[in-house]
Amino acid sequence: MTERADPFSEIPYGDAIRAPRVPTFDASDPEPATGALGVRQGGSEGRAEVDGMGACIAVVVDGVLFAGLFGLYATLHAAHPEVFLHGRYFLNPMLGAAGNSALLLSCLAASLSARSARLGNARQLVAGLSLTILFAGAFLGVQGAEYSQSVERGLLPGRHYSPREPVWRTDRFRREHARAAEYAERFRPGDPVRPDEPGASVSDVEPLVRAGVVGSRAVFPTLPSEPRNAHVFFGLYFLFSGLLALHVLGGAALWTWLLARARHAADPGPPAGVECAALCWNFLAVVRVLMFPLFYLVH
Amino acid sequence: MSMQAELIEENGPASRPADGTRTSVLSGMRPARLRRGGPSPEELAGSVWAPCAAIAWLLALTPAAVDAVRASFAVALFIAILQAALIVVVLMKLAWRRRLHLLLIGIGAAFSALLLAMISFDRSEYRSDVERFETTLGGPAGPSAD
Repeated sequence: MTERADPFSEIPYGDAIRAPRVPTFDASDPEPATGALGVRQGGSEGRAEVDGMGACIAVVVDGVLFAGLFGLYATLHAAHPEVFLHGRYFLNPMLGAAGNSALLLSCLAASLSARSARLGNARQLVAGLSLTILFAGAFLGVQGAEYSQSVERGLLPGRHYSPREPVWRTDRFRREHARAAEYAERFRPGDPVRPDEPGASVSDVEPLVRAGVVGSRAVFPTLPSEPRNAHVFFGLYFLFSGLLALHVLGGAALWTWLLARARHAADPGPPAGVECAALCWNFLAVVRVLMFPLFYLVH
Repeated sequence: MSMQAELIEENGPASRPADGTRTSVLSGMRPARLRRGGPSPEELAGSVWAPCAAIAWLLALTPAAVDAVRASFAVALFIAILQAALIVVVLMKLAWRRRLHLLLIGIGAAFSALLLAMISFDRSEYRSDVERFETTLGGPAGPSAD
């Protein structure tokens, strides 16, 4: 009589069929107890779990904060779409894409740093952290260049908003709506060119109406001007991007501290710190990725 | 007696080895790696190619969104949501490792969605006030005007 094979014999029952253990704080226990929610207690793993939970809470808090800002954007955009269509012509999408790319590359370096920390590879960890800080600096540099351009052109929030040029003279508007820009440029108060007159079709003027340059939502309905409350776009832009830049600045400081710790310590230490920092950092990339089309590409 | 039989005899199904693995009756071998305390550091660290591939896609999708907006803004928004999903799934994997993290992130996402929903639906409540403000030349005149 042959012995029947046990089909489950290859399964390591230490993991697969593990009964819940009673919580213990014995430091010498090689496998700390696991609670009902899967949180381990005691030892370095327990510390890593607490750190991970703290990072998750930070992500949740930031998530709710930025969700409020996205909600504010949705409300204002629904009420005044022309303000956003007008404001976007002053932003350079290529510069925004460059900032996006810098932050995404920084995320890659952060993720590889977390991997190196997990594997205990100190050399790769230092290289990864250095690259993370480098790309974070690149992102802040791009953001600074954008702010510098905005300040030069008088595109500031609130009562400081005083644009140096009308929207139809911006490179982006002229490139996208050449005929509308021409129409607005040759418009004279004493000799107005109406859309129904020869040389100016309704489709030519439509981009100006949609951007609130002319029409009922413009400051001067019969003259090419700008939409009422045009400064709201830049207020929201500076609020969004400034808050994000502050987070990136704080994150860069944290990465610098982690780099100093990794360089000067013989043992890079537990990977939880780097992993948690990478988690929060990646969340900033999520915010930036979602913010990019809302300000630079809005139609 | 063959070697397989010896092994079976030595580590029979009834015995429980110290490393938590059971010897197979068929092969007479235990799993190569000890799995006490969850996955190994290599498994936790994951492949180096997954984040690289994700970032390559993300970098390629950014200019694609700039181009796609000529067709439709919805396409650009869809690409942005796709990018965010890539980051969350591939790069933020720490969040999904434990049930508590998943619970926290889930609650956060639920609250964010609730907030956005309230803002979206609440707009009709004060829409008339906004319109009255816009039609009034000097802005709201205050309670005395009513």
